[in-house]
Amino acid sequence: MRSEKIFQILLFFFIFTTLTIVVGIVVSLVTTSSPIFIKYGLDFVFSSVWNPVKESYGILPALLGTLITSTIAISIATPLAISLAVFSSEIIPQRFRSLMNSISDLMASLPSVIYGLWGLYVLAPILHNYLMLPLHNYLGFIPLFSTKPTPTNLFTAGVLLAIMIVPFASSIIREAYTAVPYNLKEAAYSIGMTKWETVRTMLGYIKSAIFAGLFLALGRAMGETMAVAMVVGNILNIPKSLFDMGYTISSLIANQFPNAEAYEYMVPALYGGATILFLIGLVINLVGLYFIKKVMIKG
Amino acid sequence: MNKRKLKEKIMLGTISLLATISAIPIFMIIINIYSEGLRYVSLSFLIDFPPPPIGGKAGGIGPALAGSLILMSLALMIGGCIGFFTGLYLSEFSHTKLAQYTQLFLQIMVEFPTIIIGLFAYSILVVPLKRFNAFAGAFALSVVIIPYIALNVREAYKSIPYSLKEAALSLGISHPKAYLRVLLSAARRGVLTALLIGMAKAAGETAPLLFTILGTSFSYFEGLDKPINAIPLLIYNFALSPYERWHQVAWGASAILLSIILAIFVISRIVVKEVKI
Amino acid sequence: MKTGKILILATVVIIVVIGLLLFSGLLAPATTSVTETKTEIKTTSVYIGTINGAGASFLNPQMQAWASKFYELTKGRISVNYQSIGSGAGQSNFREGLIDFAGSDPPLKKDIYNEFQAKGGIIQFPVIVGTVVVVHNIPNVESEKLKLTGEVVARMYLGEIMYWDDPRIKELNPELNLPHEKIIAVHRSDGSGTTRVFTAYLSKVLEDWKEKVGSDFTVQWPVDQLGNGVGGKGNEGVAAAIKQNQYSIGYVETAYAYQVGLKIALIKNRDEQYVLPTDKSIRSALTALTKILPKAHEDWSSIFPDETVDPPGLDSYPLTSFSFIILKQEYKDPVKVAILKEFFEWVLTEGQKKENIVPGYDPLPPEVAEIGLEGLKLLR
Repeated sequence: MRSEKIFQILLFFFIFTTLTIVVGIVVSLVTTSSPIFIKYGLDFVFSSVWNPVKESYGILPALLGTLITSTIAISIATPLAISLAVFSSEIIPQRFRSLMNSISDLMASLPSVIYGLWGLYVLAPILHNYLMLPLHNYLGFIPLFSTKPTPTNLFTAGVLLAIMIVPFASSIIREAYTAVPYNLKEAAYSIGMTKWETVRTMLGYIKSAIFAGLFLALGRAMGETMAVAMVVGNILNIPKSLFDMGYTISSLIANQFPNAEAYEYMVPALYGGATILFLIGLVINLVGLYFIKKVMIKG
Repeated sequence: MNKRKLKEKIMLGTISLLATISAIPIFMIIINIYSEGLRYVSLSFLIDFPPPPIGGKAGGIGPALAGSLILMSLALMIGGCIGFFTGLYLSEFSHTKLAQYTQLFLQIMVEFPTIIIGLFAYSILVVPLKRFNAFAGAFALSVVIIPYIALNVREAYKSIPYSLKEAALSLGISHPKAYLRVLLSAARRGVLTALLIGMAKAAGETAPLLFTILGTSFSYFEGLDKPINAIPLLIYNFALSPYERWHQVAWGASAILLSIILAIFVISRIVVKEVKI
Repeated sequence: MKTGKILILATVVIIVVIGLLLFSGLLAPATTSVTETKTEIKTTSVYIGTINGAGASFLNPQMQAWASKFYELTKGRISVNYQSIGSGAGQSNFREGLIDFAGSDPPLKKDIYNEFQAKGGIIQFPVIVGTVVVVHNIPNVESEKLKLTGEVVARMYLGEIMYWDDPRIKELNPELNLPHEKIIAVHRSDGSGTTRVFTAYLSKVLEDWKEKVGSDFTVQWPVDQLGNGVGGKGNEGVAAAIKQNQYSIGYVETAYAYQVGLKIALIKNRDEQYVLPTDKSIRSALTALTKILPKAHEDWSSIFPDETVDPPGLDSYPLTSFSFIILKQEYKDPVKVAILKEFFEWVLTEGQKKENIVPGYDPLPPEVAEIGLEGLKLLR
């Protein structure tokens, strides 16, 4: 019995370590950022002035940048992720399915710095020449496209993020899709539904899983740092169009943290940004997990 | 042709088209990285120090490659250990409140922006020790991979049939033996996959290293309490530099990093296949 | 039972290893901060080891070239590890004690200097000459044709001069056909020594600028609020933004402007001459400067760059500046002291020879290099 006890203690030790780390991260976020919230209150969130010389910090431009890039990403990724999931589990022949899934899983596991390098030198020029410039030239009267685009901007970052999160979202949807009881599909066919109608029924059935996948992917897009820092432009302005260069909270931290110790309040300000990012991410992920739970109960 | 059939054709066509579009980038990335990067890769590229921006030798990524391998193995040792046992606990004591909360925490932690983990490692390991150090980087990477490993190990143990579990635990051997010998072999596919996922993550993460390891140019490894370099960090620094020579090194380094990831990926697929039978 | 023992053993090993790692780190600074191998110190005074530095990105290419050459010269005995993280970051990391030396475009701020003076002292000295140029992207105006004064540039960044055909610009350039186009003012988005020097210059030539904006690593650019400002990370970010935005103006390190082919503007110096950064104009500026430069252990913050920009002299280039190395006077590890001395003595003598200077940088005049050589004697 002795070894059992020790084993238990060992397990407790490791679980305790894990919990300590999680709690430690949250505590260090909150304590380090507290001065900025005490000094500026909500102004920190709603002010657009980021002026270290005058020690005034407002995170709004970066926060907007995070929201805009992840919104672009999720709106592009949604149809793509669902299509990819349906395609790889319904349309292509059985023997190619595992290959297709492998490719999608590989995409999900590529390092973000590789996406960043590729985004900076390959994707950004392509988008700039063949999509953003024409959009600006012909549809420039629409405020969304009103800025004359540079290759790196919020839109490029959004597209790159979309490419990065599609495989992740689609793998969650795919899993739910293939887990749908076979007799549901059979029933659909037996009442004379076409393949598309069957697919639509199935998608309706796994609605929760789709939401879960999209929310978790959205959370991922918001937290992504390196790839975004390389293509977003890194400008602290309130963006006026999709083609403005911008900042996201995580790229702001990556760029400015090394300099931060030189100023009295910049470290708390950046930790404050991290805290806000964490809170938004937490809510989105909890929503995602809620949907996952719903799927599991149903299944 | 009736309307329903037409609609079916259009919709399925659209889905196929969109799916193809979403798969194009991966091929482009692999082709671009290899076609740009491989031409700079040679044996000396893997060993040499990074070049000066202008003049001098062609140089390479020796310190970054050595550093990445060291950081990866360290992270796998620390993160793998903590992650594995945490996962085991989550699976075997899943009814306890502690396990349920930990699992929720881990699920949230998976989605943590990794830059936050970098800040954490900086504040507890770099500032107090008064130097950038390899251990802080390894620690940050461990924290990044713990939830991946724990959640996957949990899945692996969960997927063992109940009857087998019961049989193993009633054999009369001690529990640790039952979990780590008998049941581990039943779950080894999942556990291995978990570790490989962790390894791939540790190989590619940059954000946790930004504020922890500083980077080196002329030394491979001088101790855990000294700065070290890593391939992703080198790519980030060199890609954003103004010098053509450094861009080339960044492309070459990307080709190496991509190869490491591909290798881990292929191994994990083989592992899964082999044990599937 | 056997597994149990293995488990215990494994845990103990892990805990001990982690513990050791942590405590070796915690205790180390009290004894010697490193475990560098000393070989035959007594007989030949030859040291082996690594020194870690970080800071100014402007200095980085030249530092890598020096470090690379020095590594070869010493046959791998001494590695100098310099990472480009920005002047501000270099200074703050140095202050935290995270690195052995900092590279920085401006010297230490007054309060940080005092802080260090109180605990062992500091030395800071120039290692290389750098100049900043004003660049533009007006399609029909060629490089080295557009003439500007510091005041006009300041008013552009203030957002007061908004169009290229503003009379105040036209007055300086009667022969140019300047279009009625909005001026897009490009600046650095990250903390940068270049910005510090550039804004010091603007503060010196225009009182309004000094009051409204001031000079620092990063400032809040008034032109941004009007929507006519664009920021770029690093010299390369600024260069990219200038190339992409027609009718823009910006400032970058000279080496960089030539390398990527940006159009350079002439700047009016204190003696009413329009100048470019040439060997002659830089030397003239340096001659004027040498007289006012302090010693390595003194406070430079009040002099550089606020006093050194816009020096007198008929040929002097106004945006002439230095990059600095910052060292502590006292290190706990004698090996480190020896290595720092050896390396920087080489940098200030042999390192200033033409073959060791990366194209686009300028060597120090001997009397300025002497400041560093004198300062290094204080190292202990």
